Amino acid sequence: MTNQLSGVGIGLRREHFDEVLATSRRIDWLEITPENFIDYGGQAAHVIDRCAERWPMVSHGVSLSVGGPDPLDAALLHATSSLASRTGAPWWSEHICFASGRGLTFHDLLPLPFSDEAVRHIAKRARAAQDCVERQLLLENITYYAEMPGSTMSEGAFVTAVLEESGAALLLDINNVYVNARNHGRDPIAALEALPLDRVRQIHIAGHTPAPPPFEGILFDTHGAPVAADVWQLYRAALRRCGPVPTLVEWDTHIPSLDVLLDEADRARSTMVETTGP
Amino acid sequence: MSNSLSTFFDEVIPFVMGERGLADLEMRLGPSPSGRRMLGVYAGVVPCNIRAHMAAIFPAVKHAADGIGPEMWTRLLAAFFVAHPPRHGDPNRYGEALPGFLAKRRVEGGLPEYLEELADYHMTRWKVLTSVESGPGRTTFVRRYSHNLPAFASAVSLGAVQRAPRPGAMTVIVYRDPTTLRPAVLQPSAPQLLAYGRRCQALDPRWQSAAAVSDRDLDHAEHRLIEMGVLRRAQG
Repeated sequence: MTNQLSGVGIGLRREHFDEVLATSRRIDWLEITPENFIDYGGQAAHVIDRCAERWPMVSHGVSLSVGGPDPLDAALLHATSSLASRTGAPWWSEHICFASGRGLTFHDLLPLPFSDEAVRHIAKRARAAQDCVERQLLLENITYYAEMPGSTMSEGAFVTAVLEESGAALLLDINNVYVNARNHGRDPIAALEALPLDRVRQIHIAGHTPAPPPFEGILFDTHGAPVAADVWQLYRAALRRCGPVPTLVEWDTHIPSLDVLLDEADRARSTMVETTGP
Repeated sequence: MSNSLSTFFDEVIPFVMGERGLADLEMRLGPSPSGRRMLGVYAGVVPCNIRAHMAAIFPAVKHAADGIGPEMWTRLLAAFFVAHPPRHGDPNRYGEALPGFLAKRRVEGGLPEYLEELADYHMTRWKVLTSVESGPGRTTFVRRYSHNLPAFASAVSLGAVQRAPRPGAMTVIVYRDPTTLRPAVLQPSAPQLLAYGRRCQALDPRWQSAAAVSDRDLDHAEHRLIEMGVLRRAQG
């Protein structure tokens, strides 16, 4: 069975395993990081099955390295496909980045040069990955602290070209749009509008943090704080342009209690209703 | 993949791994349109990420290493990173090599034994928590440690100021609690340890004699281990 998503979801984190199964508060859907569940039994397997009985779920990978130089990890793709079937996920998502290469893993989402070559490279691999998982692939616009040497186009043009050539939809990360705009001295609304908003299927909102020395003045995309006021404002702008797109509140570091996270989800839901109507 | 993209990966990967400096990267690939300072965010970002993951996975090892010396944890991790470049997307699986690495360093450099034992304790708990299959070596482990590691690790998780585990050899069974599905730790009695060994077909009858444990006591101990969820009820 494939579920449909609407409203506001949260990321399922180990810190909330007990709370999430016990909560009576509203959660519209859950997003899971497949790498935290694939090949895991015990509590993780138990919780994911119980959650799948109760809520729609989608998976959001972090290590496939869609833009990387090494062959795609076939085992990870097959496991992602199995997980999607097990949870009834309507789509799955990854990032426009490289996260491994030359046999090494980086535990980070690193940007490629914004170039035609990189577009062709990512799009070809994204199509192969999507075929393997047999579900719509969404690709997320990442945070990039530097345009990589060799870049020949803007981020907006790059993301648009990757999605057009790959057939993937856009997972629009509003916080990333904001952080990138601030770090590179651009207008957040213009940065938002430069992305292919007609392809948005899901939205992420999250918190960011001022960078510590020696990077003062830069914002780091930490997912470790409440959503900032400016990001809420940009979220409203995105909803006005895209409609009531399913939205996820991400919180991955300094993870608070489930109630605090659900307060943020409630606020996102209210914002969605206020902006796009019930 | 085009030659220029391949060149990009060849040059940028040593940079993010901390093996190549910013000036060297700029000389090879040219400047970033975002400027030198912004490109510098990615200098050595991978070992930095690994340090954060390892601190989260091995909090008691870090705490104990900090107690040995202010730079001990950083130095150990730097050496571990060089000896074991990250090749797995799951940081826990990357951390599986840490106990063996620390054991080797102990022999070479005089580290206390409890560091490698603490790393093993964290990894054992992780295996118990996440194993798909159940049984000995998967969700149940017997460990002999030179210090009281469970108490230390627990204290660290609560923000303890104690800098090292207390000496005192102890045997523990780390197992998956059948109710919470979380790791639990038992300091078994002699009959319980013998009963566990009997069920794992690893009981030398001489041990039972030496410990002066009767068959009845052994059966009773096994029953108790089944009640606690350490052992499953025998089939058939």
